[in-house]
This record gives sequence, structure tokens and C-alpha cells, in this order.
Amino acid sequence: MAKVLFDDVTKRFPNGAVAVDALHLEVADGELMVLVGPSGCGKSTALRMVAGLDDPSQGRIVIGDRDVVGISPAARDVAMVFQNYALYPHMTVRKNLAFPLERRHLPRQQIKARVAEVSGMLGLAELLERKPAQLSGGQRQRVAMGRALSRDPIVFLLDEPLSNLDAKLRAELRAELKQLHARVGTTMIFVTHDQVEAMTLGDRIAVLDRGRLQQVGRPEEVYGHPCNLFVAGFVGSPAMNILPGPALGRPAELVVGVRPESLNPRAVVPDGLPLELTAEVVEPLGSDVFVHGQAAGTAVVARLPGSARVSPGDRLDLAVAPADLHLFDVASGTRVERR
Amino acid sequence: MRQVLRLPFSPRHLALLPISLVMLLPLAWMLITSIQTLPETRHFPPHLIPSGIHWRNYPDALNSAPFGRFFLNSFIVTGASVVGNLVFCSLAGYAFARLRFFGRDVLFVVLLATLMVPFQVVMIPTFLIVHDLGLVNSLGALILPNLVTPFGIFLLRQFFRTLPIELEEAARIDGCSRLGVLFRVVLPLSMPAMATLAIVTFLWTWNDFLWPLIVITSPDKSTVQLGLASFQGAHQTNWPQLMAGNMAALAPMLIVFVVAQRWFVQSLASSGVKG
Repeated sequence: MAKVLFDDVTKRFPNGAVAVDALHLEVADGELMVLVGPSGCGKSTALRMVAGLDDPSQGRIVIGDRDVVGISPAARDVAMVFQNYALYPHMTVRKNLAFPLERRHLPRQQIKARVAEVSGMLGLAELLERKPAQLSGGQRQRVAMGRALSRDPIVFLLDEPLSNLDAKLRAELRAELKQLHARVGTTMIFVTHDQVEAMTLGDRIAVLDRGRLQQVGRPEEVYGHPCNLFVAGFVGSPAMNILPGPALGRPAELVVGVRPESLNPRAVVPDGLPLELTAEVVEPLGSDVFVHGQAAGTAVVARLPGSARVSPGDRLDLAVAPADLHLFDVASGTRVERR
Repeated sequence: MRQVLRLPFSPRHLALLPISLVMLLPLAWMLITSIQTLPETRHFPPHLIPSGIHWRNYPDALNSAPFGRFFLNSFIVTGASVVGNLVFCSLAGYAFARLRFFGRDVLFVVLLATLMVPFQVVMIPTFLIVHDLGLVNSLGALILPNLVTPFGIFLLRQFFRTLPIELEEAARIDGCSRLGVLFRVVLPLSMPAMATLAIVTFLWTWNDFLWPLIVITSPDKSTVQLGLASFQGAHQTNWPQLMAGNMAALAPMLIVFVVAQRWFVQSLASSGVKG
């Protein structure tokens, strides 16, 4: 186990594109850190630099106490799970699991024991003689995890490992992954574009946009106190509503962010700031109802209790508690503390 | 409902069948000639159905010259060329496919350009090099210039580039060196391309006539193709024996093709990666 430090890391590609821009981030020993952001934000590049598949143009990457820039991927003692699993198609599951151990010239008995242990842990014991082509998506994913686990690396790197799975399986494996992390306690860096995955998995999450680190913190911190408009819009589903300041009695140089669940019927928050929403699309989810519509000339989503009866065209008298407002500077987009 | 007329074969076969007959005709003629008598082969128009089967042409042909030696020489030269091509072309092809180095793409274009140069153009310079190396009239003269070919490098480079790069990255993280990646992951997944290269190299080298004719001067270093040429005299050609020898020379190629065929057919199982 080891901490991972991105020390002012920049990655510039030969065509001049900057994928990662002066990233400074420390992942603590044993932590599950999620790098999250839209595609092209540099999160995968950051991960690849830890693996040694790409070299930073500037800055240091430290694993444990060792600056690993220039060290081959094999010598870094990290393991990586790829989005498309990257299982060796010509090898059986057993061979796939044993491969990293064989490459490290471990004694045969030890390899055998380790493969048995890992396959038992991940429920792969029945599949050991199959080839990857004979496995389902979820099974392949487990084998990929197993291959990473088998040699007990000091850092786990996971590059969108769940994104090729269907929603149900993804939720299942997400929970398994969290358990697994709790059990093995190895430092993990998990890359995803899915903010739900980030929120549910991460000890901390780091939000990136266009190569720059926007915010890092515990999921509830980032959700509750987004540091700028990008994070506010990216974290949370449905996204935070962004309204002009005057719509909720704030100055024009501010914009106001309101989470969909902070919008309630006026009767519930009598001392709240009023907002009238004209419903356009109603999405009943059972537990909640998402009402998409217009308020103060802006598209707004409200998340109402499942019992709410709303039809398109209805005018809803809503209100938001002043404490639930997020204020941002119009020009810079950064968070402004209460005024 | 309208009845749709269904042919018992694809209409494409209507075109393919006559073409395959045209392709087979020389082979059939060769086989027929190899079991005819000499006067029969001189008849015009040719007899396509022989009067009898004269198997004697085969032992006669093979005993008329040291064909055992010729076959051995051909096998040594061809085997070495095939192995050489598989080893060196895969190394070079992998470098062109995956390694980043200065001038890589320019070098590759130059390499491709050499494919357009006919052998007759490089024949004399190659002979001079082989001569300076003291290899004239040795099997080395037949092997060395064929150990690595631009075509082989091109073929393998193109194939390697189709393999998912994540497999190679995973192998590097799992502890492989670049060579380890090539030998443990890339080559096992490249059997179709390797088999193709092996067959093509085998055919080229086995059938090569001009180059052995230039560099080989003594019968004990001759290949099968040179041996077959001895049936063709200035004034007379023993067609049945020549064709019998040809049939014998064809056999190894057929065997190689049949053996390697399954790799051709076997599609690349790249399903370790979600497509």
C-alpha cells in the first residue's frame, strides 16, 4: 500500500493539446479516490501516467516515497483494470489470473494458491478453464479485477471499469468493489465520467474539467459546497438549477444555484424564497417525481415527493430555503459565500 | 404469397465456378502429362485423356538426378527463410507498429517503396554483396537475402496495428518487457498473419528459380527448381518426367498449405476486449 502524489503534473501531447494541466493531488494510503469529469477532462491520462503508460511533460508522480517518472510500468507495482477489460484472449481465466505472477517469477505453488484465493474471492472458481470469449461482460469484469488483485499491488488503477456493463450489473459490481476495497485496503484510483458512480464509491472525489482540477473532497462536501459553476452543474443528478440572481432576490452580478430537491411546495417552506415553475415534462419515478419546466425564464428541474400529482402545464408554487441557495459570481463562476 | 425462386447455390458461384476451372486446368494438365508417354505428350491437339497411367515417369524423373539432395537443399533454404521471416519481420513489424522513434514513418514509406523495385534491378548488386561475403555457390547465398522481406514487415505491421493496444498495456503493467509483450501477447494473437507469412515465404522460396540459377553452380547445392530445369534440354524436353518432377515438387507446398490453413480460417479471437 502506498500514497500517490501528483505533484504539479502537466501532460502536453505532441500536437500541443494539454490533457492534464498542473494537477496537484494527493491520494492517501488506502484511500479510494475517484477522478471524475466529462470525457476529455484528462482523468484517464492522469491515471495512465500513474501506470507508466504515459509520461508527464512536467511535474512528478510519487508512489509511496518514490518518484516513478521514467520507471517502467512493470517496475511500479501497480495494477490496472481497463474499461474494455483487456483480458488476454488466448489464455484461460486461470492463465489470465496467473500471468502477472508468472511474470514476477513467483514459485509455482504460490501462484497456484494465489489464483485459487483470488478466484474464490471473486466467484470465478467455476470459470478457471474458460477463455474470455466464453464469459459474460460481468464475468470478464471480475476476471479483470482478479488479475489486478492476484499479485497484491501497492496501488490499484481502475479506468472506467464498469462503464461497459448494464445498469443493474453496474450497481451490483459497484457495491462489490466497495466491499473489496474495504477488505483489501489497497490505495485505489478510480476514473469515471459517471458522477453517481463517483459519489457512491469514493472516499474522496476529484472533479476535473479540461485538464484542471476543480475540486477535491468527500462526496457530500463536493455535493454540498461545489466550488464553482462547473462542479455545481456536474455533480448531482438531475443537475443543479442555475438561475439569474434577481430571480431569487439576489444581485445581478450573482447567479443562484438550487438543487432540484431544494425546491419544495411553498406550504412546506413558508419562509422560503418563492419561485413559480410551469411544468412541461413530468417524470414519475415512484419514490420521486422530476418536474421539468420553466421558472424565471430558465429551464428548471424540481424533485418532488412521489406522492405529488403534477401534470404538464400546471403552475407550481414552489419555494427554496435561503440556506439551500448556492451563490456564484457571474463573471468568474466561483462560489461566493452568503450575502 | 409470391413464390420466390430459390437456387440451390449462390448466383456468385455461377461466376466462380468457371474461374476455378480455368485455375485448375494447368494443374490438371500437369498431372495428366506426368502420367503420359513421351509420344503422347507431343501429340497435337493434346490428348486430355491418357491412354494409360504410366507411373514409371515418377521414379524415372526422381532417379535421373540427385533429387533427394535437391529436396533437402530446398527444405533447408525454405525452412531457414520461413523461420527468418517470422522472427525478423515480427520484430521489425512490431517496431513499426508500436514503438515511437525518430523517422519511423519516413523509414516505413521507404521500406514500402522497396516493394515496387523489381528483383531484376537488385539482382546484380545483391549478387555482388553475396560474392563479397564469399557465399556464392552455398546455401547461405539462398538464405541470407531472403531472411527478412519488406512484404513480411508490412504484413505483420498492419496486422499488429489491428490488435487492441490495451492488451499490450495490460501486459506491460503485468510485468512484461517490450519483447515479452511481443512474444507472450502479440504473437500468439497474430497466428493468422504469421501463418500467412509462413505460407507466402514458403511458396516464394520453394518456387524461386532465377536467384538460385545465378548463385548456385554445383549440383550438390542445387534446389528442386534447378533440378527440374535439367529436364529441359536445348533440343528436347522430357515433358512427362518434367511434369512428374513438378508434381513431386508441388507436394510439400500443398502439405504446408493444408497444415497452415486452419490458422487462415480461424478468425482472430480478440474477445478479451469488449468490442
